[in-house]
Amino acid sequence: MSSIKQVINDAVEKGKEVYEKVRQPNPIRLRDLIRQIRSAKTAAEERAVVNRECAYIRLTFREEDSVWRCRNVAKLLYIHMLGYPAHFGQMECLKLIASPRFTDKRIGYLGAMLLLDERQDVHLLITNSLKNDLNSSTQFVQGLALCTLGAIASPEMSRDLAGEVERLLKSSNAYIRKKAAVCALRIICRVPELMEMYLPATRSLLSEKNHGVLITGVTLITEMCRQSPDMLAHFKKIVPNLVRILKNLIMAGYSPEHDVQGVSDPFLQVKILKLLRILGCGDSEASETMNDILAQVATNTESSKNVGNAILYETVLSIMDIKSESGLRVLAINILGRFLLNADKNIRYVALNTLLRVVHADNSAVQRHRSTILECLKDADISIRRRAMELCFALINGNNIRTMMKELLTFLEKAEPEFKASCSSKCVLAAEKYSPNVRWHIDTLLKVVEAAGNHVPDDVVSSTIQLISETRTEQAYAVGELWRHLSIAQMEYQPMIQVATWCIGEFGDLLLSGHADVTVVESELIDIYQKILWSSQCSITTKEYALTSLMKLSARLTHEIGSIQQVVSAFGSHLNIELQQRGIEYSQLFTRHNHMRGPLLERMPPFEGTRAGTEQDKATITNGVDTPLDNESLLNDLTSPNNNAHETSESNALLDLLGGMEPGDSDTIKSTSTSISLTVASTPSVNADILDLLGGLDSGPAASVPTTNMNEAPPTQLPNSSNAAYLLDGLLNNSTPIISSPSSPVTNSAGTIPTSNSIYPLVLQKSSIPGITAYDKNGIRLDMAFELQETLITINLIASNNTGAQVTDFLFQAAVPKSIQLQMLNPSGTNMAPTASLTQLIKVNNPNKVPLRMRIKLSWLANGSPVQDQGEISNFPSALWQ
Amino acid sequence: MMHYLLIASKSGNIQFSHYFTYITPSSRTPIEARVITKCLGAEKDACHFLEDGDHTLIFRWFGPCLFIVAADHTENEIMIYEFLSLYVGALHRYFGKFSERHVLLNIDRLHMVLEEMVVGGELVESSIRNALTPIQVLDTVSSR
Repeated sequence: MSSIKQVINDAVEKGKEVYEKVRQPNPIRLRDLIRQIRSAKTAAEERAVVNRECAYIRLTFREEDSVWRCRNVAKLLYIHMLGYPAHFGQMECLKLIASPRFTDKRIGYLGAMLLLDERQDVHLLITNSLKNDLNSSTQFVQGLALCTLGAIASPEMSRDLAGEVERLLKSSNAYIRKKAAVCALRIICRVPELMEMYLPATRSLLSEKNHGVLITGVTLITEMCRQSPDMLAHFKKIVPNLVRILKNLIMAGYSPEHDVQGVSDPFLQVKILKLLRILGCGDSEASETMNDILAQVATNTESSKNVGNAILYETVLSIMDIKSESGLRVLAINILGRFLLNADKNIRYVALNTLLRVVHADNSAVQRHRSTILECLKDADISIRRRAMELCFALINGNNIRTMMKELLTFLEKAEPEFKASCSSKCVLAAEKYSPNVRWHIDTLLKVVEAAGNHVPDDVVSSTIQLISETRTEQAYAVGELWRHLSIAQMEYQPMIQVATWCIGEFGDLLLSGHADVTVVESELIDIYQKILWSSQCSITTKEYALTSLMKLSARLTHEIGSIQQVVSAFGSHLNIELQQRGIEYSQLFTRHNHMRGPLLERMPPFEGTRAGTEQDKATITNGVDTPLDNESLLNDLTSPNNNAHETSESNALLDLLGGMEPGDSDTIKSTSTSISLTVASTPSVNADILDLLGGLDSGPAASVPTTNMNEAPPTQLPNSSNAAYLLDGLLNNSTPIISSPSSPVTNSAGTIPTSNSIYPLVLQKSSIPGITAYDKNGIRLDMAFELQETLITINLIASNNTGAQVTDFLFQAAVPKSIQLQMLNPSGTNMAPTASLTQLIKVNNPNKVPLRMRIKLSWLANGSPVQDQGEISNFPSALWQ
Repeated sequence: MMHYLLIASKSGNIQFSHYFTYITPSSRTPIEARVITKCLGAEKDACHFLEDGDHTLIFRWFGPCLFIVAADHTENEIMIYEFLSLYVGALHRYFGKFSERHVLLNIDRLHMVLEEMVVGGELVESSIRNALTPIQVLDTVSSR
């Protein structure tokens, strides 16, 4: 018994001890706490100090200890700044604000400003305290309240206190007026309707002597003009007032109060210049009034001092924005020219920034500083180089493209990786727009691809290929150049190899026949290809390019076909499924279908449509493979990819079509049919033949579907290219067995095609992002496969029916977080027989790259009885937004 | 307008932060860490203006203290650069002498001086004397 007592006593003692430890007689001072925290050696130690102090502060808060409240809140503000939670101090701040002592009020308002946010309920409570203090008889209390209101006003607070602020705006005390003006600014930002109310009081702010009031007054007017055209019109008449104030500032002698490095209140000058810019923009009368003063500021301001440059900077912007005289504009651009030569990097940066802003207004004036700007490309400072690069692209025109491009290519070669992608894309655009001739254009694109190394974006690769494919006259030259690059290429730079292999594959005969300036022996060619194909540095995509290219070469070479066949068939057992499939399919062309090989591998028709930066190119190439490029361009002619519902029937139609043809029929038919099925190549004439062919088959069951789309489908429809690729895979899978029948070794060895109906597995494999099973309940299973193009995610949804019953009226609905856009295309159907499936494409644009979640709702009729379910998909692979 | 002002030490520790526009407390720490690293990473004689998403960062060293302001792209960068020296000048005048120790131990005062000069991210007072008068008056009233 006694032992139990003992234990209890011990525990009580211990508790007291702990309590005493926590409950010091006097709370430590803020600076002592800061010392303690600063002296903490580890993060854990710091956390311990903070937690102990927080526990103590909470305790005193609970005890309603009003003596030390002020000190404790101050400490809490420090703890808050370090990133620890401190919301429990909010109520204490309100108590401090309500206190009559100045010291308490000060810290209370400071705490309110730092700890509160607009979403807190405490705002209601603080509104009352603010109202009281705004009506206080002490200017400093009013000042504190205004300060806080200006920092945290919510729309509700703004409405409640707008009247008080308006009254204070007319106060006789300048200290109050300036703070009221800044409050009014916050209020009209929150609640624009209240603007009218402040209009009379705001005008009178400009007849002020006090600079604080002038600064806040001008800021307030600027904001009003920015928000409302009516206000802008109204304030046009104050231009003379502003001009006068500015003039007084420049003319005024030394005033110690507002002097900064010998310049009289540069802060106010800058604010006025900014407002003048808004008032004079597009208004010749107002511009006329301010022309003189701007000229005066531009000439009289001391440019050896930083503040002087700040004013000049603002003046230049104003001169360029308003309808100023031409002489003044020249003056402004010359100021920027001086800035460009300034030793101070800040000034140089500002100069480039400003030139970039005015280059559209006056290109020719900026052109005069071109050489200086080009020098900035070589600056050591990254901020300056970035601005200089942007400016250079804005300056390129038909006359200077050669010199500019030369400099930019030198820049591109040495630039940081972060510049390379955007710089090379812009080079391509500029070359596209201004190139003097095709030879130069090709040279430039090749140099861009070379200089940017592996940072070349896909659209540049495709643009280059397209350009070469289009220009018949330069193909021999281009292929010669590319061979030169390829023969000395380091295997680590993929884009150049991709361009080179594509072109050599297409135009290899020109290379060998000596049309190009180089002489190449076939075996050299094969050696390089071997090197690429077996290099561990080359990506799969590059190897896909190379393999197809090599295959094409088999129709262009005469001696080395045997070794090509060897290489190609070796890929039949490659670990990568795509390469393996190509290997197998291509080997078939050497054996069973050798007679088709020639026509099949003929040259591609030149690409049509615009090159640079078009969606189409991007979409095509980001698939990362070469064959899809061929396929899709073919499909472009064949189908309108939009019509999802027709997909299956379309490919079936083609299937029928192909199935109905014997290889021996006639030459044209043979080559067309195989070019559809293997989708390796077709010539323009063949293309037309397809047309004829299909036209002739009009009477056939479904053949009219592709025909109708053949001519009309414009290339721009390709944003849906994933759809096209999808269809293409359907084509591939469905048609392969026909070629290889009766033994159909291809299907067996590919091994990945479970049923002839399923047209999706290849899409699944192609994207590197793993698919997910989004839903598997009630006998319905939803599988999703993903394709990612920058922020655009294409989801291939496959719903399969394992219910054992007939499912009809199947409806899939989805919702995503607000920042994501969702587009659902038509499903392939709404009914599913047992074990059948349907597909639907979902496009998701996730510009902010937030984690993707999806709320889904499903409904269907199973044998006529309705079933409904909903759920959330949160297991999307994070690769989709990272 | 300005969005926030930070003071960091050479080693990258945050010493002072004042937010003019509301940013949730949980996202402040990562922003501070990123911004400070970015500014510390700039070379000695590099440009003091850096782009940071929607903001331009303007930073300036005063002794061992790194002052950083994040402002809208439309703000006059040089003016904010000069504002930092105005602020430091005000602190200098207020404390009599200004050193890193003052930043460390008088965080509340730093806030108060700043509030007299900037409210809601907009400059309200360009005269150091006018900015300090109310603070000094309140100081004498409180100490009584």
